[in-house]
Amino acid sequence: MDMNTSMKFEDRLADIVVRVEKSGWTDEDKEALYAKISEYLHSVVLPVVLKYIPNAELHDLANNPAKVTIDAFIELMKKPFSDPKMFEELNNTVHSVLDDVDTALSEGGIV
Amino acid sequence: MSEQAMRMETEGARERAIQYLTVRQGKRFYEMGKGEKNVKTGIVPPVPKVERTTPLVETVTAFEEVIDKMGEKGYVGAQKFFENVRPVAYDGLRVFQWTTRAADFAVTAAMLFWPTTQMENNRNVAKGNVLLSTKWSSEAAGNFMENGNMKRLKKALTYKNPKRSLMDAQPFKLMRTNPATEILAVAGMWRFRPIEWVGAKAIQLGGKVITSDLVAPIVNNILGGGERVEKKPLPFSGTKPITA
Repeated sequence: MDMNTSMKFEDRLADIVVRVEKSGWTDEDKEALYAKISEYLHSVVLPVVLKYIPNAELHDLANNPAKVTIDAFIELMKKPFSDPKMFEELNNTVHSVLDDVDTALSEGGIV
Repeated sequence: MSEQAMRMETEGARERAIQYLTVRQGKRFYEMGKGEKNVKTGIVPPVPKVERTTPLVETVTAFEEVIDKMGEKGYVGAQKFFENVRPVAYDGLRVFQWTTRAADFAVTAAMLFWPTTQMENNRNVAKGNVLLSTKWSSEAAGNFMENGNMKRLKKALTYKNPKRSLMDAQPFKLMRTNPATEILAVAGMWRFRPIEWVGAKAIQLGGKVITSDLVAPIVNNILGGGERVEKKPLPFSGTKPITA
């Protein structure tokens, strides 16, 4: 585990926000960057969760849209969220996204 | 450095940073999502490169868009109505899909097996069910004898139980000129199922029409959706300055 992943996710995110705020970018530029970071983080969560859903149940629901109800969705999601391995993988994934954000900030000249 | 130059520089930096994140996101999403690429449903976010979705998915998506758009426009009652009919609508869409699919199969079968008028006529000739019309017979026979003009003689033929075929349209005739074009046409029908496809597009278009600014209020009135509720921005929307 490197130094970055040993930090808490929230702390790393707060650190990124502070760096962006100090960057001297316009509010519009900052807003666009935050929107992108938010989109990126959102997009990685569901694929990780999906890996821990029983495949047969997922496909059954996907092939029968009429069965997709709030209750069915909650039942489906209970399984991955009761698996500690899922949280571990999710943690690693969001940290690797923050690694990408670190690199992106360097690309944008933010130290 | 001028203000404009500074602005251009920060814009360039922003583009580089966002571009980097976009590329990384696409790559990561592709790697994570390829195992699930066959799960075509709203519970899986769209992947960058998708196979052509089935028409049923398109029609279901169109229905979902109707619900969302009515909500966005503030027609809460109409949105609730569509939510309530959702299970019935899904069943209806499935029936619709299979009806149009059956129509595609029927057309494919007709392309293969339905005889053209020419085939019917040939069959009549083979069976001997052919007469020379009284009006033309002498003239046509004379013409044929003198000039060998087969076309005129054919015109003079009349058939017992004459039939006109649905398959006389030019595309079908062209298709049946040789087995290769016939196989190509059937494969095309099998792959693209045009009637089903057009049906799905029609439902999408219908969804766009009933949620258009012109028609949505009328639909809302018909469904007893009540007055339009103006949406208020959430108190925390927008970017608040964060002090470092």
